[in-house]
Order: sequence, then C-alpha cells, then structure tokens
Amino acid sequence: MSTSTEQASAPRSSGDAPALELRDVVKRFGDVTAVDHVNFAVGRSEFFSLLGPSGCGKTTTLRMLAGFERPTEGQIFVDGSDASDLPPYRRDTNLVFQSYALFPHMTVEQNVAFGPERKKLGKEDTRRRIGGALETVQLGDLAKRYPRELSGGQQQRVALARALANRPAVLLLDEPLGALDLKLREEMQFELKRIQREVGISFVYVTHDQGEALTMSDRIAVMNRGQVEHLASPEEIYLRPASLFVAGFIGQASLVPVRLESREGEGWSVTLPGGGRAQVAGGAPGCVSGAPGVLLLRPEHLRISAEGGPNGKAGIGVRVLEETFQGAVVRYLVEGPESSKLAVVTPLDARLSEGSVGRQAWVSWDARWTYVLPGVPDAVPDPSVANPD
Amino acid sequence: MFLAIVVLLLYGPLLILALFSFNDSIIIALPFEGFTGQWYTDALSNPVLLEGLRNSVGVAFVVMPVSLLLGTLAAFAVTRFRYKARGPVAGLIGAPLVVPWLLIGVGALIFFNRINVPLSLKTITLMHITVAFPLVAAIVGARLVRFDRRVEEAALDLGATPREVLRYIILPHVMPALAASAIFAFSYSFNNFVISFFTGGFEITFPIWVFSTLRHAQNVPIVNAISTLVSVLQVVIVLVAWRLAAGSKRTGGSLDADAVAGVFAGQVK
Amino acid sequence: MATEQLSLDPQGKPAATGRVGVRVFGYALPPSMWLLVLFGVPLGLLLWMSFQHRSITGTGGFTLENYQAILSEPAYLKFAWNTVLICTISMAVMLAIAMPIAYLLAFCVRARYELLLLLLFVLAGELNPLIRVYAWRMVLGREGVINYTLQAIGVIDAPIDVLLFSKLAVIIVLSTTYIPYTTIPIYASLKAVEPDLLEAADDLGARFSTRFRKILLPLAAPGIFVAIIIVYIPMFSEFATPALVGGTSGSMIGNAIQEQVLEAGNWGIGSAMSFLLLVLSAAVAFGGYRAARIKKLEAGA
Repeated sequence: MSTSTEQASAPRSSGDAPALELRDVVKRFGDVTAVDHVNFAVGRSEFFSLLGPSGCGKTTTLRMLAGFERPTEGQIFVDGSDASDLPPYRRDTNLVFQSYALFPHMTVEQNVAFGPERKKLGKEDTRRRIGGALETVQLGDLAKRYPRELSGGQQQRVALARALANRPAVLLLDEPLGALDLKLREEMQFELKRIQREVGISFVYVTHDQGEALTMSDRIAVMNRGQVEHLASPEEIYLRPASLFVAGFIGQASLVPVRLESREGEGWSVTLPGGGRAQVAGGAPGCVSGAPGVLLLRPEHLRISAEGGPNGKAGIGVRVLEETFQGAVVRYLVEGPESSKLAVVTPLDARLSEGSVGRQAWVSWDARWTYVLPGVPDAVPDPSVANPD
Repeated sequence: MFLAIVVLLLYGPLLILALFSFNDSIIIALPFEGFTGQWYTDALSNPVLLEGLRNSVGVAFVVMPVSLLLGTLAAFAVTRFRYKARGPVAGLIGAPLVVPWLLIGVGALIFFNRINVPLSLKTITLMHITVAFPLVAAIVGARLVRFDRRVEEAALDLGATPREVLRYIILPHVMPALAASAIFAFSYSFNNFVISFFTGGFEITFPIWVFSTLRHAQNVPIVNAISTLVSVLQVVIVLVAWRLAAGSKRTGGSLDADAVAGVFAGQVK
Repeated sequence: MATEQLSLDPQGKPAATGRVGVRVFGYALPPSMWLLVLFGVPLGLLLWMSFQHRSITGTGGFTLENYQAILSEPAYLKFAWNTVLICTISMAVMLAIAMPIAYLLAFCVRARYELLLLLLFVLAGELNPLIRVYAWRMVLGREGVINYTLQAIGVIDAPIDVLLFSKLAVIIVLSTTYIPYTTIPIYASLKAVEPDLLEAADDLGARFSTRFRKILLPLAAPGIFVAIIIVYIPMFSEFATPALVGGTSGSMIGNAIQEQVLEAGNWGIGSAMSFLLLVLSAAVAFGGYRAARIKKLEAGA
C-alpha cells in the first residue's frame, strides 16, 4: 500500500516537459475539418483556456485531449510522453463534463471514490483522497447524498471533486459553468481559480464566454474555424488582438476604418474617417504604410463630450444615436464619419446632459490604449448588436 | 366510480372463481353449500396436474435466464452501436412481438417435424425463449436508450476499462429493467398456452392441463382451487418485485416506467 | 455547443476503434441466429407449406389449391367474418373504456392511487389468461352468477343462454383479457403530455368535446397505435377463448387453424389460413393506423 502511495504522490516529472502539448493536431470528420493544425503547450500549474464560438473546434480539441477522439494527424503529449493513441482510461487527464455526468446510482462519496478505486489505491489512501477532494470543493457534509438530491451548483462541485481525486496531470473542463445561473457562475469563477492555485494542477478550460476566460486564465487560445487565431495572456488578447476576429470576439470593440500612414516606433500614425490624424500606440504585424487598417477602440477607453475640439487627445465628431442607462455606467451608441458606429461606455458623472440623443458630440481617447490592425472592418460584429456580457 | 367498475370487471370474476373453490359442492353454482378445503387437497394430489405445474415451472426457470441473456445481448446490439446491419437486426428482433403466437406455434410445429425433432418440453422451451427474449430486449433497450453516454465517458475518463464500465456503470443502470424482464419472461412462459399447445406434443403444462380439463368438462372445482393458488402466488411475486423496485428508487431505478415499457411491447398470448 | 458533440458512438472512441465490428458481432449474432433459425425458418416453412399439394408424404409440389379451398368454402369465410366482427367490436369496446381510464389515470387521480391502479392493471395482464376465461364461465353460464342473481330477484324466469357460448361471451372475455394492454400504452403516451397543455386549452375556453378531439386524441394517437398493434393482431389468432366460451356461433379462424393443423393434420390448409390471417390482421391494423393518422392530421390542421 505504501508503495502505491509513493507512486501516486511522486512528482510526475519528465524533466521540463510541459504538462500537455499538441503538435500539428488535425481532426477531420468525413469532409469536415473540425480541428486544423493546432499547436500549443500548457505549462505546469497553468490555467489555460480554449475560447471560441460554437463550432470553432474547441470541444473537439478537448475530447481529443481526454482521449474520446483520436487525432487524424499530429500528436498529443501528456507529461512529455506521446498519448495520442491512449484510450481515456490510460491517460493522466481528467475531464469535468458540462452536464457533470455524475453516476446517478452512487453517493457523492462513491462518485469521488470511483477514480482512486480504479487505480487500486489502498483503502486508506482512497479515503484520504476523497476527503481531500470534497474538502477542496467544500462539500464534506454532503458525502452520503445522491446526485439527484443536490442543486446544480453542488453537482458541479462533485464533478470537480471526482476529477480532482484522480490527481491528473491535466484537468480538462468543458464549459463547466454553462448550466449555472449568472450569480453562481461568477462566484464559481473565483472558486475555480482558487482551487486551481490550491491543487497546482494544470487546467485546460473550454468556454465560449470571454468573460470567464479573461477572469481566470493565465493564457488563452482563441479558436476560430478549427484554428488557433491568437494565443497569449488575457491582457495581450484584449488590448492587442492578433486578428479582427479576436478583436471582435473578445469584449466589445468599436472598429473604425483608417488609413495607415507611417510607422512611428511601436505604433502608427493613421488618418481617421473625416480626415483627422491620430497616433496609435501599437499595431499588429501585417500593417503596411498606405494600406487600409482598422482602429480598435474599446468602449470604456472612449470619452464623450458635448463640445468637441482637439484638446491634446485624438478624437472624432459623432452624432449620438442612443443612450442607455446601465446602472453603474451609461452606454452610448454614436455614429462617426462614413457611418462608422461606435459604442462608448462612460461613468455616470461623465455623461452628457439630457436630450443629447440626435445631437452632435465629440468622442476622444487616450492614445495609450489604441491598437491598429490591417484590413477592413466589414466582417466584424456591429457594436450595437454586440452582446454586452 | 368508472374506474371501480372496470377494476371490478377485471378482478370480480377471479374473486368469484376463488369463492367457488371453497364451495362444498361438485356443481359450481349458487347458492353456496358450505365451506370446504376438499378441492385444494384434491388438486394437490392430482398427478397430471402436478406434472403440468412442475413442467411449467421447470420450463419457465430455463426460459427466464436464457431470455435475459439473449435479450440483453440484443438490446446492446441495437442500442449501443451504429453499423449497417443495425436496421435489419432491430427489425428481426422486434418481429416476434407483432407476429401472432398462433403462427409461430404452427410454424414451429412444421419446422420441428421437418427436421425430425420430436416435440417435447425442450421444443416448448426453445419456442418460449424465442417469443420471450425479444420482449426482454424491448424492456432493456428502452432503459439503455435513456442512458446518458456522457456518464459512460466519465467513467472511462476516470480510469475504468470498458469491462469495468459495464460492471460498475451500465449494469447497475439496467438492473431494474433486468428485474422487470425476469418477471415478465417467467410469467410469459408460465402462462403460455398457444405455443406450448402446438410444440409440446404429448407433454402437459399447466395451461394445457387447464384447457383440456375445461374442454371436456363443464366446470371443475379443482380447477378453481389450483387457479386460486396459482393466481395468489403470481400476485405475491409481482407485489414483492414491485416493493423491491420501489425500495431501490433512490438508485435511479423505477419499475413502473419499465413495466409500462414492457407491457407496451408485449402481447398477451 | 451541441454542434460540436460529434461522434458519440464507440466508433469515434479510440478504445473501440477497430474492434467495434467484433464487439457488435458478439452482441448481435447470438440473438439474430436464434431468431433466424427458430422464428424466420418456421415462418418461411409455413409460407412454403401453404403452397404445397397435400400427399401421403406430406408435400407434393407447388399448388394454389389450399388458398382456393379456403376461399371457396363458406364455412371458412364465416369464421373469417366472425373473427373480424368479434375482434373489431372488442377493440372498439376496449378503446372506448381505455381512453377515459388512461385520461383519468394520467391527469385526474392522485399519485398514490395512480400507481396503485397502474399496478392493478399490470397485474391483471400478468395473470394467467386461461384462468380468466374460466372465471367468466362461472359468471356467464346457465347456472352462473348473473343468471342466478337475475332469477333470484325475479327479473327473468329462465336463464339467458346467450350469455355463454356465444359471440357476446367471446367479446366480453377478450375485452377484459386485453384491456390492460390497451390502456397502458395510451396512458403512457398521455403521461408524456404536459398537463399545462390541457390547462392552456381550458384557458382558451375549449369545450370538452373540442378538447378531446383537437388535443387529447392526437396526443393519445401513438399509444392507440401501439395498443392496436399489440392487441388487435393477437386477438385475430385467438383460439383458446372461443374454444372455451364461444360455442359454435363464436368460433374464430384460430379454431379452424387449430382443427386443420392438429386434428385433421392438413398442414397445407392450416398454413394457408395462417397466412391469410396474418395478412388480414395486418391490413386491419394498418387501416386503424391510417385512420388514427388522418384523425391526427385533421386535428392538427
């Protein structure tokens, strides 16, 4: 028994290999390519998110990591060794299902014990693991209950405890908060992050909710049409997205068509619609002088004022289309030159005077937060229909 | 009120039958002549009747496990895999449920005759299994269809081999259906008259004994006595099974749903 | 995310890939072979036998004479007519009783009693049918409970003979034997309905007759169809019940088949009758199904 304990708690190091690595992984279902040459590595104790819209290939990727799908091409390494052909029950990964998939005929305790028992750990060790896992998710007093007797949030915690009790090298989570209501979902985000820090296991978290991904992740891979479009820290992805898709998908973005004039250090000098010039703090690779570009403006970085005029900050003249009171902030939808639409979010004390809808106003911004991408902004969502979450 | 009348129509005649089994008269007619246990003693010392009962129970005890096995295999084959021949296989397994037993009985009679197999309890058993296991497949299949494949994946993911998944996850899930199937298969075989009649040759089973006794005589008190005994036993068995299933509600089983599914798929005779 | 939940079959699982064929084989083969040999071959033989000329060795070459003999014999046609009549009336009676019962069970009765009544119905179906036939003889016979009671209270002077050994007796016994199998499928399909739907109809001020025709009937239709399949077709091949309570006027095709096969030893005619019976019952059942569907479409329109 003591030997099995040793083995289980021994560091699963294989040198400095990442906890998880995908090399050129492709998955095709018939003619459909669900995952298209995906590469990434997840470090030890890292909270890594796969973020993207429905059908982007993130769930298929996760299922390949868990072993439920076999990659058509490429390799998957878990803990430094090739796991591409290993069935789920031989992999050092565990999955938390979106639907929880608890065993209905077992108590909470039995559910959590299922993994350790399959590993043929000793009784004492199994018991300790169950206790530890339930304590981690704060469910110790519900050990004897059946899943049907638990609330959705509690079931979610059981699913998590069940996977953690197995002490995998990597924990995979498939939209685990999707079925919870908003308030609980927000609480659980911090809870998950705490648990991850506490157990020190690498998390791979699949979600379509950019808020969740930004809140919890160390790094995010944004997927679109089977490919990773951008892999970076949340801050990097939010402020300096690699593509128009990423810019539109993460947070709310107003995308203003501009002309790239000249490179200035890290940034660019651009011509705004209506002819004004502006300095931009950063630009994506692929920007070329004289070519069209897209200026990325986040609503909370914009300031709106009734009286315009350059006051040291770049800006454009607009017409106010809508004003929406949202509690802590006021949201404006405005129309700039060449019918470009922008969203502006501003604190209550900086709102326009009443009756401003339909009037002219001036939108300005701090050049530090601006970023420019090559291309034209037609394929991105209109901020007026963007989902404010 | 309406329900009471229907229940009375279902059970009233059986109660009258039971009452007459205690009537101290060879002629079954009102008014009652007095109480006697005579008919029970007579019934239980009638050698032909006892042989029929023994045969029926013996056959049913073979039919039950074999039907459970074949039916469960069939249920797995049609619900858990996707393959080209699945449609035809499902059709084949469902067909005995809709073809009248009379035809199956006559067909089997011709079949055994042509391959020179003498009719016996063995041929009865074979044919009972043939009609009983598709019913088991329907009951178990109905339960398997309601099985969440994610739960199975979760077990695999936690380190259970496919064999362990079967043992710890799938079998407990279908257990109530298997229990219901066992009862159905048993009573299917025990109650079966038509198929036994055609494929039994000169063998006596309990329903055959009842039929031939009644065919040649008007009403016979020992039939009342033995019918009462057998019915009471059947009621007790079903009630006990029902209680057991109700007791295991927490584990996810519900006999009522599966019983409904079973009756759904079943014929009477 | 439903769009991404592809490939739930074991085919998609590495664990099963390459072995799925073998595994299916293991599951599908034993039951399939069993049925092919003990169900498919006998039915095939039955069909083949119905086209065989009768001779001392049993078979003597292809012939249509069995079918000709049946179709030109008035006695057989009378059996056929009796069968259709008895089965159809019984089926109608059972549906007329089963629909309200199923409705009451599904929506009106408290849960405790619902389960109890359901149990009573399941149990009634589990009891030996022959015993039930016998029990009815004691109720319907010349000296049976009904005749005795009616005579005792002076309603009639002489016993009513038509109660037993008649079509009426067969209909009564068949109806009470098969009623559980008619009620439970209808109950099951009604149970799947949200009670809200009926309440919504109530809110809209639908009269009961409208509610029944436009809402209940279409919802019960799948159950009615199942009931017809599992009750109507088997009833066509009844022979124990008519043999025990039908007398001469209540005989059905099943009795003729049994006579031909077991007593006269004429398997050719017996087989041909069996097949005509199958075709007849399937046709009637299909007709019932079509009728139910048309009703459904009408109500849906």
